[in-house]
Formats: sequence, structure tokens, C-alpha cells
Amino acid sequence: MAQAKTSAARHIPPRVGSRSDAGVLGTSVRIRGRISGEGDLQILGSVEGDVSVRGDLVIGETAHIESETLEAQAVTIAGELKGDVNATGPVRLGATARVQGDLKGSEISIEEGAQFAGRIEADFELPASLGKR
Amino acid sequence: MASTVIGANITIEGEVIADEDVVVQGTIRGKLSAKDGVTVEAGAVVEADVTGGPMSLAGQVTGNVTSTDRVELQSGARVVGNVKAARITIADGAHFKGNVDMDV
Repeated sequence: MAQAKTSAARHIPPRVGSRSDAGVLGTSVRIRGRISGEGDLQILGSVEGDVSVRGDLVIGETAHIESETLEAQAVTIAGELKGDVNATGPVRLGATARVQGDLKGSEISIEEGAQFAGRIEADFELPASLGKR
Repeated sequence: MASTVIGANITIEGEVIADEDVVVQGTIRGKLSAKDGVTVEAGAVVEADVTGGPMSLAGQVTGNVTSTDRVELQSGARVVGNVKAARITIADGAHFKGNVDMDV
């Protein structure tokens, strides 16, 4: 559980001009197609298509995404998403998130105010006291 | 200030449309349309027709380039395609194959 908190708090502003693995797709950007990569990605604009990154994915408040699947490590969502999330790390839905699709991750957290319709699949072990029910 | 950066390890296959500056360090295959400046940094690969405002190209661009302003081919750039712009500079050390149309 502590792991989810550290990755959510890691909000590093984009270093424009310096060379890095990270990508930022700004608010006025519209992409129709497939996005893939090794590094982290921050989406603030519109994307119609699949996204697959090895690093962390941040979907900002202004983002609109329509996709079959999003694949990433940790996924933080504050915007609008229609599609499934397949994360190897934690998935975090912020208060402004509007998500329609299934979530899969090591941990799932949904903040108060978030809109969500879909299934949740998380691989963790319930405490024995809860599992016996 | 550029607000869109396509990082070195990011690949986009499809259409990218932006109303703001775009900095490409990674790979774009498809089409890139920006309202404002386009910077293709050294190491970047753009296999796409590129339209936009002022452009600075230092990476590899395969496709037609159309600018409403100026196009600068920096040293080390590798551009294959036609360039249409009001102003164009080709730096010493830039590779370029294609036609130039300055609309005279």
C-alpha cells in the first residue's frame, strides 16, 4: 500500500528542452493512432487509440482518451477515459476522473468524486479474516 | 514555451494535431500538424508530412514539410522530402534531398 502513495506523489514537472525519456502531450494536442514507448508519458490532450508505455502514465484533468487498452506501469487518471486500463503497477483515479472501462493493476484507488463504470481486477491477498467469508 | 514534448523513447503511429508548439525527440509515423512551431531534435525520427509554423529540424525527417513561416535545417539534420516555406535555411552539415518551394 505504501508503494502506491510514493508513486502518486511523484509529480515531476516536464523538463522542456532537456532530453529525457518522458513525453508530454499538451492540452491542445489531438492524436489519432497508436502511442508506444519505454518512458513515462503525460497526456493532457485528446487521444483516440491505444497507449502502451513501459513507464508511468498520467492522464491529466483536461485529457479525453478513447482507447481499447492503456498499458503502463503506474497509471494516474484525472481526466476522461473510455477504455480498459492494464497496469503492472497501481491505478489511481483522482477526484476529477471519469472512467468507463475495466481497471487492472496491482492496487486500485478511487478518490471521492471520481466517476467510474467498469470492473476492477487487482492482484492482492485479502487478510485471512476477510477471505474466510 | 513548448507544452508538447514527444520524448526520446515515445513512438506515435498515427495523426498528431496540435495548436501549440511541438518538440519531437522520439518517433512519429503518420502525420504531424501544428499551428505553431515544430522542433525535431537530433535523434528524433519523423516519417510523416509535417505542417506548422516556424520549424527547426535537426533530426531525421522523411516526408513533405510545409511551414507558414521559416524552416531551418540544422547541422546533422537528415531531410528527405519537399520543403515549402517562405524562408528556409540549410546549415552546413545538414543533409537534404528534395525540392524547395519558396512561393516566389
